[in-house]
Amino acid sequence: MSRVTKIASVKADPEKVLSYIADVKNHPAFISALKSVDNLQGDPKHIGESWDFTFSMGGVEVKGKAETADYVEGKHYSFKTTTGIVSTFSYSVEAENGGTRLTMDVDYEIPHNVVAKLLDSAVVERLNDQEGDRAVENLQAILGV
Amino acid sequence: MIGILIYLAILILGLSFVIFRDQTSLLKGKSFLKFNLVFFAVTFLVIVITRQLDSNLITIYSLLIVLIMSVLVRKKWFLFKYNFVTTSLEIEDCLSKILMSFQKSGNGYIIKVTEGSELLLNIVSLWPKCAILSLNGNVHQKKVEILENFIVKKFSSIFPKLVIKLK
Repeated sequence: MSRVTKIASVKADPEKVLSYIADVKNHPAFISALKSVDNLQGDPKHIGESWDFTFSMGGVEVKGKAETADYVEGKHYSFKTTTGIVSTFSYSVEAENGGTRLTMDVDYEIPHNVVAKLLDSAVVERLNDQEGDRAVENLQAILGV
Repeated sequence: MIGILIYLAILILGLSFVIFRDQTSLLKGKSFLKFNLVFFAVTFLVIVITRQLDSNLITIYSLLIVLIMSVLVRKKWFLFKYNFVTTSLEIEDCLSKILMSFQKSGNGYIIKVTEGSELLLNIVSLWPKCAILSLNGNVHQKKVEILENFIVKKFSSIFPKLVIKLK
């Protein structure tokens, strides 16, 4: 399994930050590689709520399903992807200096077709690490004052 | 002749479903393709069942008309489906996901990026598979980049040629 961990400060309340992240329809706005979130029927804060996603990893488009794994209001939100890519996304927030300290953890397995195309899993991991940087920068820009 | 009349009757019936359907429910591109295929299949079945394929001339004329009408109906339906109203709804959804305050202004939006800086987003033109949007303003913020990327992402399947002009 590969991992991406990013910590960032966001100039917004922890509740606002986590509420924004827990609404998975917002994810294509700050995750550049995520092309779409579809077929979300209910509230993604409910554990077990599922949706479809389309993600571009190393230029390879991967479609799959995801579902909410955990939600604690104002503290933590996580979901896992069950098909397409096996991964777990975890977001934790805590108050810090009038804003929020956001921790984003992603554990994932690189799909075989992505490795086959790029021939080097280290390249994929580097690309995903850069995506992580972009995601937190985008969140800072979206939620920051 | 009867085959053509059958075709026209089915065409009118199909179009009436399109016209009276809620516009926001037409935003998914896949429903358009299904409509076209179903429509074609139903027409063909009716022609076969009513034995209008007995005559070679009627077969050829009917199929040619089906093909021509399919192209024309498809173009008209696309224009109907992706008019300013439905495109505006999608843009408003983009703006709300990026928490920008905005207000409608003509065929576009006045977007408040930060205190004292505003952008004007306009839908310049729409055409099948092509759309031109313009962003006018003196400030180019990270939020605007995110907005631009998100709009491209949202519309990439609908408008392969999406042009966003930044001024």
